[in-house]
Parts: sequence; C-alpha cells; structure tokens
Amino acid sequence: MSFRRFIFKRIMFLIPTFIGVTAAIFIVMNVVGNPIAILLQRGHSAYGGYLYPEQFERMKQLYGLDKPVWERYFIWLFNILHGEFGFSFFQGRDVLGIILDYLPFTLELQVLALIETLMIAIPMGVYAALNQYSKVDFGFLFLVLLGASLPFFWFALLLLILFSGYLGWLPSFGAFSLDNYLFGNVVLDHLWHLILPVNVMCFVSLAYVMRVIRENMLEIIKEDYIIALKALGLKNRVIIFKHALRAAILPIVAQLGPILGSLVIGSSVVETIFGWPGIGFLFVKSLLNMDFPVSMGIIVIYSIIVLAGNLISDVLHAIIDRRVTLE
Amino acid sequence: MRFSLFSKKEKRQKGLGRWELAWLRFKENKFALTGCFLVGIQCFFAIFAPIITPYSLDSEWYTQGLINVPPSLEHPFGIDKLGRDVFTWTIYGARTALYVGLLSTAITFAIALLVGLVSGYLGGLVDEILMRFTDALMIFPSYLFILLLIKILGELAYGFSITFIAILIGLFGWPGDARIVRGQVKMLKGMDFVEGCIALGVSQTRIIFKHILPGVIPILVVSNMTGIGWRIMEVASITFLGFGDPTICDWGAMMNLGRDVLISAWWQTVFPGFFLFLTVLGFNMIADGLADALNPRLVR
Repeated sequence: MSFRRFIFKRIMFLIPTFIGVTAAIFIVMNVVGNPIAILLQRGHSAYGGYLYPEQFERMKQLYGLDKPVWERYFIWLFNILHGEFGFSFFQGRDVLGIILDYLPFTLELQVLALIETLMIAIPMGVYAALNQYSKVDFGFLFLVLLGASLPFFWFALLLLILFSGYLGWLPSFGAFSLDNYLFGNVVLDHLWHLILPVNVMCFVSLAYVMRVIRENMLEIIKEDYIIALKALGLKNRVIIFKHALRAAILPIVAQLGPILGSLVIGSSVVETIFGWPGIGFLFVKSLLNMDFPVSMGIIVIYSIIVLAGNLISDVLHAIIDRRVTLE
Repeated sequence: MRFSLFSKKEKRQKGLGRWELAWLRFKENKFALTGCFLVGIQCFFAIFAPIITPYSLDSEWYTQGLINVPPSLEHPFGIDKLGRDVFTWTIYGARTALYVGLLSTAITFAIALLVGLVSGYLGGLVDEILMRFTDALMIFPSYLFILLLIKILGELAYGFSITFIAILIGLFGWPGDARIVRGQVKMLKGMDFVEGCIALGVSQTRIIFKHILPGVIPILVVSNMTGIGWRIMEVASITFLGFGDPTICDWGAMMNLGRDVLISAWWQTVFPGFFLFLTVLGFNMIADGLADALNPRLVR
C-alpha cells in the first residue's frame, strides 16, 4: 500500500466515525430526551416555569422540533459543518463563540501536560529498562503501580490541601488572579496558576506512558540489530540514544491518539477541581445547568480534536515507520 | 521468584493444570498476596459494615446537629458538613465500590470475550466490520457521552442510580479488551495444534471451547482485574463531579460534598479517597501477580 493510500484509508475510516459520533449524540438528545421537554418539565427559570400547550407547540415550532427526527439530524449536521452550533440557553450567545473562548486554556493545559509527561517518562523508562531488576528498576515499577492506583482527583485534592491550603504557596482556583497579579505580571501570574493543574494532568497519563516506554526498551535492546551494533564496537551511548531510543519512542507516537482520549477524562475532572476555564470545566458546568446546546457542541468539538489527533499520530507513525503502511 | 520459570516445589509436582500451576506461583508472591489482603479487607467491610460501624447510616440524629467536627475517638474520621459520621459512610462505601466494579467489569468481560472470539475466529467481513466499530468506539469521547446520558436519562426518570452509571461504564469499556482477545484468538487459530484439530475433524464448538478459550481467558482475566480498579475509579470520578445520587454512600459523592470545605474540614475528602486508593491498589497488585503467575515468560 502506498503512503497516500494509507492516509486516504485512515481518512475514510474517520468520516463514518464522525457521523456515528454525531448521530449518537443527536439520538440521545432528541429521541431519548427532548431538551425542551426536559427544561419545561423542570420549570426552567429561563422560560418562566410551566407553559400552556399552545405555548409549548409554539416553542417546538420555534426550535424546529416539529419536524421528523432524521430531518432534524441532517439540518443539525449541516449547521455544524458550517460552524453553527446553536445558542446557549443561559448565556444567550453563539455556542461556538463560547467554546472558542474556553478552548485555548484546555489546549494549553493538555499540551504542557503532554510535554511534561514525555520529559519525565522517557528518561526514567529508559534508565529503568537499562538497569532491569536493579533497585532503581523496582522503585520505578513501584512508582508506576502507585501512579496507576492513585485516584488522580484525590491526588489533586491532596495537593490543593497541602500547597494552597496549609502552605499557601499556590493558588487554588482559576487561570488568573482576580486582582493583584503575582509580581504585578500577567504572564508570571498565569504560570503560577498553571503549576498545580499541569502537574495533576501530567500525572493522569504518566504511569501508563512510563510503563510502555520501559517495556518497549526492554524488547528493543534484545533485538538482533542492537546486538550487531554492539558487536561492531559502537559506544553504548550511541547505540542507546541513536538507535534504541528512536525505536522505543515510536509506539508512543502511534498511541498519542488514545492518550489524548484518556486526557479527555482527566481534563473534565481536573479542570473542574481547579476551576480552570477550559472546555472540560465548561462541559461539566453546562451539563449541571442543563445548557444542552453547549454540552453537545463540546462533545462534537472534542470528537473533532480526538479524530484529528488520531489522524496526525497515524501520519507521523507512517512517516517514521513505513512498515505501518504495508499492512 | 519472579525470575525462575518454575520453583523447586513446582518441579516436584507433575501433571498440574495451568490454573493449579498459576496458583502455586501466585501464593508465593508476597506482593500479590498483599493485594489480596487489601481487597479482602474491603470485602470484609462491605459484608460486615453494619457490625463494624458504630452508627447507623442515617446518623444525623445521633450527631445532634454537629457538623464539620474533626476526627476524635468517638468519630474516628470526623463528621461531615451534613452531620454524618464519616467513618460509617466510608465503610459502607466499600459496598458501592465493589458492586460498581464487579457489575461493570462483568459487562465488559462478556462483551469483550464475545466480540473478540467472533471477530478473531470468523475473520473476513465480520471481523472487518466488528473491528472498525471497535476502533471507532475507542476514539469515541465516551466519558463525556456517558455524563450526557446520565444527566438526560437521570432528569427524565428523576433519579441517578449508581447501577445505571456502572452499566454505562461497562457498555463503553470493552474495546481495548476485545482487541486483545481478538489478537490472541487469531494467534491461537494459526497454531499447529488447532490446525491439527481441524485436520482430525474436531467440531468447531469443541475447538473454540476446549482449545482456544483456555488460551484467551487468562489474558482477559488479568486485564479485567486491573479493569475493576480502574472502573471503580471512573465511577467515583463521575459521582465526584456531582452526577451521582447524593443519598448513596459512595466515596466519589462524599468527596464531592467535602470539596466546599476542602481545607477547613479535610477529613471529609481525604478518608474516602484513601479507601478508594487502597481498593484500586489492591486490584492492581492482584492483577500484576496474576500476570506473573499465568505467564511467567512475560518480560515485565
């Protein structure tokens, strides 16, 4: 299979997936539960409690709910593809505009956390693999086990209690101070607010990445070509950093997509804990407020990000390792 | 014990099955036994909660309007902001956690086994379709979707039952395991002994149940043992976000309540979270031990 065909095949896989995701969200919103009906049943404040039947019908007409479900789905999908996600029940603003306000904060958090994860996990994983069954290795495995078992939201709360409660070193909420920036500098203040969320976010996927790198490294240093390089008399340092490391990091590139997916869980919980104004926080808030257009919009945007992440990781993987395209 | 294939004791025993050998290795692994101990304690708490705890579940009447009281001899874990004894609620929480973990894992186990077996054994178009679906579900933002479902169905039915959350987690949690099962089935199907069976005219059912299934189950058991812990944590994170039933003793919901008074009354969040940690740790340690015991050649 040529490189182009491989990419084409991946894209051909992503399109039905995207349609499936949107269909699933739409079915849940409109067949299982009609958002207007839910709001009206609860006497939603924005609509002043209960309505007369005529008013209810008028409302349905206004939101286009009198059309058949499949027709509404295609209208919705068409609108989404044109960047129209509807209006928030609460803020009365365009959903896409709201999401775009929050999105940069999430991306900033995720990217920084991912970089930190790789910077910690790669050296530690490689070192542990090169010293297999040493004390360092067992300590490393113990850390991995601890990292996989420690509930990350509990860990976040412990850090909050310690660092912002008792020591008072770090802020507990938001992305900026309300008044009095740290040292009077916005950037420094922002970085100061980033410390706790980024570290917790990094912690979410750290154990998994560390284990994968160690296992890859263990397998690779037993490969024939590494032994051949040793026999040729190359320096250990060169073999490890130039040849083995590249092969060990490769599977991580292939798994960036799934890792991104696991960060979705992390982001909604971590952002809620730290009041970080990202879309995870916005999602939880919109659901608790029953602001469904915003929730739907966020799931769609998240799917697009994850799908794009998967595509990018596939392409990168194929560029680094052409064997992938042969399957 | 981790490095030798078989210990001296094992070499003396002959004609033991896979699971018996695994048990011999497992019970010599102190690490795994510690995991069993941790999980065992939680089971003990879950079963004997009414005997262990000094107060009944609705202990508001007993604490007489006291709220946010720090730990003392009378209330070892303190009193929370609703006037409930935290120790009592934490112990009862073990019931919810184990129930949720076992229920959701039973669902993933069944679906993963079925999908993996069918896909790997039949191959062809069925395999293609099932694996595309599995891949799609793997990158589906199911966590957010589950939250949406819980909110909408909860509002419609006026209730957020923990069983419902566990079932949803189970229904969306199987793709990874299904892939593992499929790979293993495919590998076993291509091996000489299965081809020999086919040549001898052994029936399909017999090949599947007698020759392929025994090679698949150990891997699935190990991955689902980690899965129990992970899913308990996932459900707790959902209730922690405030999507659960606040009247049920659940560690996540307790921690959610305690968030408002996180720093002044830390005992409401720290103790339930610590129990959650011990439970997940226990299941992970058992899983590691099982992986060593069932597949000693594995490089770990």
